[in-house]
Amino acid sequence: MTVGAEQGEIAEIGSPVALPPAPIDRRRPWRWTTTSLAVATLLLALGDGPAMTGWANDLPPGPVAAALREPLAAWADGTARWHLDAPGTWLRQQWLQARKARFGSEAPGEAGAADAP
Amino acid sequence: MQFPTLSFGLFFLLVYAIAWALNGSNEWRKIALLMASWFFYGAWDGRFVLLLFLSASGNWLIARAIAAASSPGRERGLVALGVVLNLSVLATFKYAGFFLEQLDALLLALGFGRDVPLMQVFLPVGVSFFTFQAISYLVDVQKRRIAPAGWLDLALLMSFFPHLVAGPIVRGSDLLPQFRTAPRLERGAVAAALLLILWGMFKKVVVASELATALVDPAFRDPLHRSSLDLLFGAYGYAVQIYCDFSAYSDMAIGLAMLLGYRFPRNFDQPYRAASLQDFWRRWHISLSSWLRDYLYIPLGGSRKGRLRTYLNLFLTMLLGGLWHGANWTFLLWGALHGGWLAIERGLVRAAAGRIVLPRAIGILVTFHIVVLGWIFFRAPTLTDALAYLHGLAAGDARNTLVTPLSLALVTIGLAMHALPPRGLQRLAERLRYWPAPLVGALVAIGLLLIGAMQPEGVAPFIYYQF
Repeated sequence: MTVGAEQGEIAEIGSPVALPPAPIDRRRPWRWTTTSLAVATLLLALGDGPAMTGWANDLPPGPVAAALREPLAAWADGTARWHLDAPGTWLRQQWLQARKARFGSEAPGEAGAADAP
Repeated sequence: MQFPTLSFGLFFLLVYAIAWALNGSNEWRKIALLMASWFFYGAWDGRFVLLLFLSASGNWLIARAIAAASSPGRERGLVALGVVLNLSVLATFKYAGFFLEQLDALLLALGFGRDVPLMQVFLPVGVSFFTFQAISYLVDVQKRRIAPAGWLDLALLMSFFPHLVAGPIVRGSDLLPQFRTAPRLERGAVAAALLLILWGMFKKVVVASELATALVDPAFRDPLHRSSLDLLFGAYGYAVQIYCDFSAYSDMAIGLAMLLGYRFPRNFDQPYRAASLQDFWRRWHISLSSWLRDYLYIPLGGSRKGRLRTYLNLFLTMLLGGLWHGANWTFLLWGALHGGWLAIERGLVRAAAGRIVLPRAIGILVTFHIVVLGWIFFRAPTLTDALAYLHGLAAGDARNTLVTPLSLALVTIGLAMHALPPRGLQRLAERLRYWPAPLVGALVAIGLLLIGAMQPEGVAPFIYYQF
């Protein structure tokens, strides 16, 4: 893939994407990559509808944002009806619980600054 | 437009589709990538694109003149001109305000104040990165390490969006040869790229962002009203935050470039497992440390001009490395600390002459704490704040008003990453390349969904965007 890069830093310190070659590397790599990305995109669209509506709502006002908001909200509602967002919502709640946990009876955070010396 | 956002995700998918659709014509592919990179950069400020265009064009002209120069003296003169011009771009945008402020303070102290016009200059994102890249390109052309590139290749080298705003500083000798022919993908490299992007997202979105809001920012905002224990964990937290933030950017940049067919060098290599500061700099921001070595330390004389000169060169190199990060006394002190300790370390190693060998664990512990001490100066907004932080640390108050089980767990995870087997991700990629594509896609989606669920409201920009 790389022509002449052996003269540069890659030759000295390596690249994290440089792997020992294997015959599988050349077996339809573009199709393999594109399918992986397409499947990931589709599953993300199905499983994270709220993120898409949040993104559309954060877009600067304009015709693009206006055109996107309604269909994305409808998409998110549809995925919610099928409970596709349930795993993400459940995990989010667990994460928020973990955030609230404190050592003993202390209440650290910004309020703690007032109590400190 | 930041990497871990949906806007960038959509932008990247579009660029991926266009780049590979144009793979039949390498020139059109590069033009498309250049346009995409300028669009990406213009999302911050359209004027920055003009600066990038002018910088690339100017360096292209100078490199052509160097290649056509009739004598070595003329070549050296042209390189000097190029270096001065590049540094003046950096000086204008990054240091002019700082030096005028210092001049103003000096004149005020001497009774001549209020005469210096203070400048408010917008700092173009990533200017330090593409300036250093341009300087190394000119030097490499003069040293005949690389042939002068065409305008398109050089403009793309300097503008390529994965590395544009926060590195790695990819040298011409690495990327220009890759631009000469249309790239091809390999399953193994793509598997490693996908894992790097996922790992980078986890480090940035989950670890760095959470630690910043829950632990580090409150500790550094008001150190005088925090206990020593809070400040200690705040400093450890920042050590983990900056690693997880900056290395995440590099990981994602390397992964994204690979998905477009280009290979970048490694930029981080488990830096907190370094047993000496010299070892640390072989693992931290490798593209900057090797740049400083090749284009500053060695031209200064390196270790070839005697012991004292070696120490001085180490100190000066790190001092300027500190200044590269920004115009602030805190960065200068950070550089001075690193340069000073590197010189002391070199002296101690020479004095011990192999008779005394420190256990590796002690070396790691000492090095880590020197680095953490440096991070306090690096993170504090002013020198006064840094000294207040150190004063608070030394107070000995062991009450906890800030550390939570989650922040403690994240600090532990961030440090434990350094105990993972080296090249573990590459070994995982060696297996992943045999998996069917739908399974890989599902794995990526699940990973991103998990990370998204732990994402705080609004992810802060990468720390190194400001440099």
